[in-house]
Amino acid sequence: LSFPTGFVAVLCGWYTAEVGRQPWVVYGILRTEDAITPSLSGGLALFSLLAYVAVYAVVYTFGLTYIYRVLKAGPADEPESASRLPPGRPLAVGLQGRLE
Amino acid sequence: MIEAEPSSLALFWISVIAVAIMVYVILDGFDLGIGILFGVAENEARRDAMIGTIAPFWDGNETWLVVIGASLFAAFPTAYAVFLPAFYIPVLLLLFGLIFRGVAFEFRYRGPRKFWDGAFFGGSIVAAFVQGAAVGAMIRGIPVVDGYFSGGPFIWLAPLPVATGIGLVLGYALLGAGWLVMKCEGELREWARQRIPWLAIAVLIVLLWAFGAALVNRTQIGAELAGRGWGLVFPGLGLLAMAGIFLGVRWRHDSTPFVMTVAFFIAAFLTLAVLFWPYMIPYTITVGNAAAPDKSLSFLFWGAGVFVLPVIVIYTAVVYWVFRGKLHQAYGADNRPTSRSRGG
Repeated sequence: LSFPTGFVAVLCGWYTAEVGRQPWVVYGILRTEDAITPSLSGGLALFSLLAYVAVYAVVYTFGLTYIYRVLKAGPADEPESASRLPPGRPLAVGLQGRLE
Repeated sequence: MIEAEPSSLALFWISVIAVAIMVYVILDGFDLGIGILFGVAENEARRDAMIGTIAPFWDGNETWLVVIGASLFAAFPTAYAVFLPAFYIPVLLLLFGLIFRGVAFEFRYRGPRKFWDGAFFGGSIVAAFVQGAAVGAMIRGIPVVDGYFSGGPFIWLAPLPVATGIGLVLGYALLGAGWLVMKCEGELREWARQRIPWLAIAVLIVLLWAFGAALVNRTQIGAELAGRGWGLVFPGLGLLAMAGIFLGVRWRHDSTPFVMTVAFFIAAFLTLAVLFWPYMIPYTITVGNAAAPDKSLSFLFWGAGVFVLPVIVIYTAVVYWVFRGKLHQAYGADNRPTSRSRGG
């Protein structure tokens, strides 16, 4: 259950750095308000932020579910053999050449 | 704006970007094309085989997009500063498309497969469409005032960009179909081959329409064309390549349709290059005006130019060499992961 805490820690560090250097975008040289794109409206920026949140929510929900499934199943009893690899993965295609 | 002559370093970097765009369009073109054809592939065995033909290549192909973006950002900041705000929403959609289609490669074996197959198809179409729409919007003209983008967020939804967007979706599907004919055998090869002529005809129709619309929209294009008659050689070569695609299908040569489609894409790209040179954002910002100071460009040259680019070229070449030849049927349809390895 504790495996996502690593992600959380990395993100917290990132936010600290980003928030900490405000109001500079390049510390001591360029202020954030001077660096903003002139044509970018607040609505557009909000829209993109929400869109990112939505996309990441979907992708990460699935990803975390799959990782938990793998964790629950535990390590495999026998080493993965070529026949068990899903098709369409690079390794499967690579092994194919060697098996023939 | 005063026209500045591009320095030789600026010429080096614009060549890098031009080559990278070309390589990206061809390489990611065929794997995005597979994603587009994926939506019309009727059964799952076919889909598995289609994914199998691009699995070793697709992510390497997309690094070329990073090369384009990074070189543009570092070497031509003015062009980058116009281009990204102008295509704020399309770039966002491009990223989302690539995210969904990227994770679908792995996730479709684990989870609601219909959903991820849909994500793969949808992501590919969106990515292809916005790339084409961006080209169309550049032909139509990007409003620039004092070196900054000054238009609205939806310039890419005008009729001409939409047409070029659809054109690129069809063009990528054509590349994808050619790739399948080259890489597959048996039923899937036939399936792809039958679709090539229709896709080729559709591409031609959309391109002709877009060309007409471009001439009406932008009278300067007609003027450039008149001044550079020799440039007509490229559309001519493009038409020859198109003929080659049809002959390749008729003669049942496996690699000809793909090679000819690549030639067609190169011809189309060179046509645009002839029309637009020396402009980077036609017809407002030139290569010379957009370039970063020579000091930055030479710093980039010794780091990225001399070291990173050759590495990318080498690994791209190696992966295509290692995975050359046909993908065999046995590894397309069977070999599902067992329920054990999928986890419980």
